[in-house]
Amino acid sequence: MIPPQFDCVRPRTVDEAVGALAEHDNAKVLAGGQSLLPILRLRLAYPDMLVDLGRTAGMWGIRDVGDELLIGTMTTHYQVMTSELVRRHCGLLAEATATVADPQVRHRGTLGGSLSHADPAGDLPAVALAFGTTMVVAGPAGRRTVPASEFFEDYLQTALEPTDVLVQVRVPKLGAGSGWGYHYEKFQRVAQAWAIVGVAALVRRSGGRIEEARVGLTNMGSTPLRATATEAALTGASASAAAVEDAAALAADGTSPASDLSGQADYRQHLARVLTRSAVLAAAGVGATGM
Amino acid sequence: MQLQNEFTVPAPVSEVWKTLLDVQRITPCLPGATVDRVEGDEVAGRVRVKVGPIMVSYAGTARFVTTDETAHRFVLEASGRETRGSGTAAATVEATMQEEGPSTRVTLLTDLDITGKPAQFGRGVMADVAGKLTDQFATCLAGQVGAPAEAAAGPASATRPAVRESTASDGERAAAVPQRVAAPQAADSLDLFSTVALPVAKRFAPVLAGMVLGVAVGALFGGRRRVVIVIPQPPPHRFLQRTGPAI
Repeated sequence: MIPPQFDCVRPRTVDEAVGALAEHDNAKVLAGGQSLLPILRLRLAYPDMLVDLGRTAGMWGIRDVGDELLIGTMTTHYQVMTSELVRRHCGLLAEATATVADPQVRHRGTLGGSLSHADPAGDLPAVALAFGTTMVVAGPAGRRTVPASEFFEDYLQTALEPTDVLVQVRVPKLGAGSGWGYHYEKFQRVAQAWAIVGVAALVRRSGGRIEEARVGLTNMGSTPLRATATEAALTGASASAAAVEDAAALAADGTSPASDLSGQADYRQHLARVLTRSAVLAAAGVGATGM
Repeated sequence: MQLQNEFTVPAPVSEVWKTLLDVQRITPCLPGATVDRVEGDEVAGRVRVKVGPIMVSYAGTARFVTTDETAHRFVLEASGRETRGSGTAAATVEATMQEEGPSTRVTLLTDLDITGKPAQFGRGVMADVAGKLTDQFATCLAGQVGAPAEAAAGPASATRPAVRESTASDGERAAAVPQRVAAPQAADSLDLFSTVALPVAKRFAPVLAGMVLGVAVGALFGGRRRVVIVIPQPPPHRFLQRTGPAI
């Protein structure tokens, strides 16, 4: 089907964008359109006005700001995954972004759009949660920051108000340079499909021990989740296959994933455990058979 | 599909029973719902369910099939069709109330049938939405049970801004408050499945003239010739099934 009728405005500045959203009751932000346009074509939403951020200044780019990377939310997936800065300092983000959909989507879709859409089956919300990303939001009252742990509220719902625009994302530099290993394990039956379950693992290893671990879960609930039981079990654990296996067995604790056409709830929980083990082993640089 | 929701209200059973059957006190708890007409046992209205950017509107009727005051149990049947789309929704809700000390536990058993695009979202999402909306409704109901009956236009709780009661001219616009399901104050979505929210009452909510459903119901009952357009259902979209490529 074709989308329902809508008006469109292309603000030049973030303030104009916020103004346009405030002015129209039923307005929606258009970033890359890779999630919104299918929704419109399926006629699941009927916004009167689309605020197209394609020409808005100050929303694109990747900058090193000390111990974080500042990424504009209109930066496309392709730009994120091929960026030298991201690959060097926030490798997990580049790796996970490279698994999103297909090249066409990656050239149009944006990091900010993916995070604001907050589909728990999307790869990037879980990665943002694992990193402990900070979201920089512009609203009628000015700018404010929201940590990723508070940003994803519910299925397709975030801490963004209808008048807010997510302008930048600050990603801590958890990469090879600061002792962090990483891996994004995505399980799908069909190539380029949504993850049935995905696991984003960040592990800081020192000598023979795992000092700290962060594990984000994709599609295990109505929001991305952290496997907190696994993270606690890994803290201070020895960097061995056995320890990782024990910790990964706790990955599905506290989760109640949905049963749908892609998998039943118990299958998803099983997948979460198996994938967490693989992801953490890879992130910790531990071979499956030992140290 | 079967859905079960429960909530507890800090009030005795008789109070809760009375409040649930008083449309004027219930309606502020149902942002996104509009009552168009009450005819005897039947309520005609519209309901808007919003999940993030996705919004589905239904127009239909609800009817009390059973009202048992001694057992504190009622059964409600509701059905409607999408106002913009070709899907339908039908629900049978059985509500039972049990005294638990000073509080009342309300249990809702819903038998829900959804056709059309929303059906493809799967049981998980719908159960989630139903659960959250029931919680919201319960919180609001708790506030209502304590407070004296107010005029239908006034929101019960001071902490919930801008719950705009629909008026004849306002229609769709009135329902367009900020969309978050999780925040009881700002949500504008209604638990379609917990249609205890549209109870029939001896005292009923003000009739809102000129609404879409009023026309539709009038057309159905007025014997005017209806043109039926058959829209073939597209195959389930892979975006919704989540087993195909993302778009």
